[in-house]
Amino acid sequence: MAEFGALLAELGGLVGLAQVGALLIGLVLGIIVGVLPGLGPLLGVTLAIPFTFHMDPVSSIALLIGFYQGGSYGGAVTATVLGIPGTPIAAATLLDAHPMALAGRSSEAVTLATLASWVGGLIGGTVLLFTAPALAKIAVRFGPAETFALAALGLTAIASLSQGSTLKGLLSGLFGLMCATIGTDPFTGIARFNFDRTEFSGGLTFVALLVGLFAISEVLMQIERTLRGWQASERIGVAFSMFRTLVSRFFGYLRASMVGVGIGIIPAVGCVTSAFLAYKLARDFSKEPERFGKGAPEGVIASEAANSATTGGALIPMLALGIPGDPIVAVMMGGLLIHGVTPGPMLFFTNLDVLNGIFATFLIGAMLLLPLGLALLPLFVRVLRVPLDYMLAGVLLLAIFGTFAVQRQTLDLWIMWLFGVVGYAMRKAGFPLAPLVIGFVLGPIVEVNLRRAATLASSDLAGYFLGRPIALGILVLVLLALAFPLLRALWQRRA
Amino acid sequence: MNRIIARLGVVVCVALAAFAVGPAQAEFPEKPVTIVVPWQAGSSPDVAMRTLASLASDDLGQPIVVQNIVGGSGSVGTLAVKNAAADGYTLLNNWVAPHVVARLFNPEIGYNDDDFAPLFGLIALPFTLAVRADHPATDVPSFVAWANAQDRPVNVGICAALSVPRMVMEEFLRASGVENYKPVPFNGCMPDNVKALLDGSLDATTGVLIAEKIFGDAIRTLAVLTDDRVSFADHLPTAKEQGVDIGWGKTSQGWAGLVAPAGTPEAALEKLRAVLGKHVQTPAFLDKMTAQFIPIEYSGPDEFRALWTRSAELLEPAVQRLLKEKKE
Repeated sequence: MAEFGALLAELGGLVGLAQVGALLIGLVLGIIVGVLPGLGPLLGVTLAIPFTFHMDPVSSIALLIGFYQGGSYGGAVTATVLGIPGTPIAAATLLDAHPMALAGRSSEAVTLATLASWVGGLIGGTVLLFTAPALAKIAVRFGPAETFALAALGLTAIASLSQGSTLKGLLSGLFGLMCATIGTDPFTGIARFNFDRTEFSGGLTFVALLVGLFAISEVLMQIERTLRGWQASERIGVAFSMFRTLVSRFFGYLRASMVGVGIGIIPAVGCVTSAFLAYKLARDFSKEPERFGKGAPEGVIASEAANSATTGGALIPMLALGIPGDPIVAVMMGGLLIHGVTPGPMLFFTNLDVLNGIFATFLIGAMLLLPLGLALLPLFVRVLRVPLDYMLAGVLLLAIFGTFAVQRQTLDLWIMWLFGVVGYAMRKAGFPLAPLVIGFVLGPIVEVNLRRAATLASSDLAGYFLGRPIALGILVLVLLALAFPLLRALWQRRA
Repeated sequence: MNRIIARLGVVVCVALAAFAVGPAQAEFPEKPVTIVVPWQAGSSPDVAMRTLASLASDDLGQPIVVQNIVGGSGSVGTLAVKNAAADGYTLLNNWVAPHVVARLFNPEIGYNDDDFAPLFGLIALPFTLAVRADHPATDVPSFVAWANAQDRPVNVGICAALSVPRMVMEEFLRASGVENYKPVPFNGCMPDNVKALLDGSLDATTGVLIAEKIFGDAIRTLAVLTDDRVSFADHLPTAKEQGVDIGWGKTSQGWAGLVAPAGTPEAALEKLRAVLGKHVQTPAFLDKMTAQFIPIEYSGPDEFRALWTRSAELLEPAVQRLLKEKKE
């Protein structure tokens, strides 16, 4: 413990006022960007890059880390209060946080989300600090077969997210997988299902699909049924009673955080997957899985702790190997390169001070997230006091602005409207929306890696997987994940 | 009911407002200039353009905004600029892949050389042949000998299925006498293909110079697949020096530059060429590019346009060969 203290003191010495200032600015702006529907940490980090040109390397990475952490957290607030994921990352948080808010427990839900982000970030940061090089060595052994198996494991979450009708959930997931095939065949480079238009050869823009699916459909639902959703009069504050969950649900926080870090270090899988996987795990281990999706605090904890921990995990392969795990980290890597700091194996020899500065700012940022998140709550209260009619118009404006800002393509707005109607129809018919998102996110990962593995394996795909124990192990987990609910049902019936 | 109609009214109004576009026309430039980058934010092209934007904005008198329109191997962004107003306020960071190669593969893609007015050529990215550090091959001849001694196809990473690096690599492998190989596509020359090299999936890969810097001792670059050594990585020998000359000259590089939609007023083009062209040759810009391992090769508008034509001529047979393989 004394060694840990000494280490922290040493790290603290690397970070001065300028760095903490940059971190704070990044965090606050990041939370705001995350709260606005459609805008997310990727946009924030990208826009911040030019401002880092005249800063020292540690300050600039501090600014970017602030955006990354704040942006990843901010989406949870919108998900809770409005039932719209402010960022794709919060899509799993929505499942239980919004029902909690509908039941008049907004304060508890937002506080929980903040706490979970805080714990996840701290655990992610600690893992980053102590194990980056060692973990990176494991992650680098994840080839196409292993990545495919992991993504397949993520797909099993579709089954657990299908409340009511499993069949409808699976259909929704299938539809998501189909939507993901629109665009360019990642393997042959030939356009497919693009309606013979070059504009579609990039596929459906994720933000447009997501905002349409959740925000536009929500607005349509609200127009139809009066005032049931947003509680215009409820006060949102800090629910200090939720701090007790840190002890009572300690293992829930820990499990989700570990899932988050684990997924984070595997390149190209990302926050959305880790949140859904952690959510599925929490549900599988819960004594009352039927409460999930109806406002279960464990669901909020799982999703937020996992996606927050993933931010720490995702930095590991970037710093240690030069392999950015998601687009946000890729932009951050660009930011480091501009300052002549080259991420990768050499970084641990050439720029140790910068590296330690990154670790320190990440941990400080993770710590600051709790007071900042809670302090900004009054701002959200004001948003909530706006009468519903104005709120609907405001949400629409933000949805349009956020979607258009990504690429400034009118086509994205049409996609948004289309998926708004699709989402509305799905809700009316009782189809869950989350499986569609999972299918859309994981579809390309599953496809590319399976086909790449098949190419490498030539004719003997089974033999190729058998020769790769990690991939095989994860595929066994996939089978277990599918069988577990069945087995448990059988066991419960017997008991 | 009235409430529902009123709410619908608000929705419709807001929806329509989203599609409204206001006219703007006067002395150039009197509003921000947008550079469309057809690749992801954070990619090398994106960083290059953002660096240029931050350096040249003051001089231009208006902010330069970088916008990423991604997809279809760059063709979505390229098409978007072709369709943009030809007023000098929308520029494209045009790359050989969407500009020339995608059009050769798909003549219906919706644009060709005549749709763009060149500002200048800027980037010339050489491709490399790289293996993992513990690979027995140390140069091109020993790699060829090793590859031909295997009783299985050698797995070679190509950056993308329909790409310049793929064509350069296949031309190189043919010229060097490697017969039994399997091209494995990725989504770019960094970093997934290098990771596949490290995890043992690939025997060799087409790479870019920055991999050498990032992965250091973990990988070994056997050759730069171009005619001349690169100034900031001049310890790396070319394939030509090692006896394999594919004879493609500058066309063997991934080139890029800046263009405006055809029909842009000459005055605006001249102003942009003068201001941006000056800044890409300053040490402030060049140093940042060297730090990112992005080789800069400035060429004037006429020279740049000539490169488009030469690339199309040289790459056409390779494209036809790939299309024929696809059909079989």
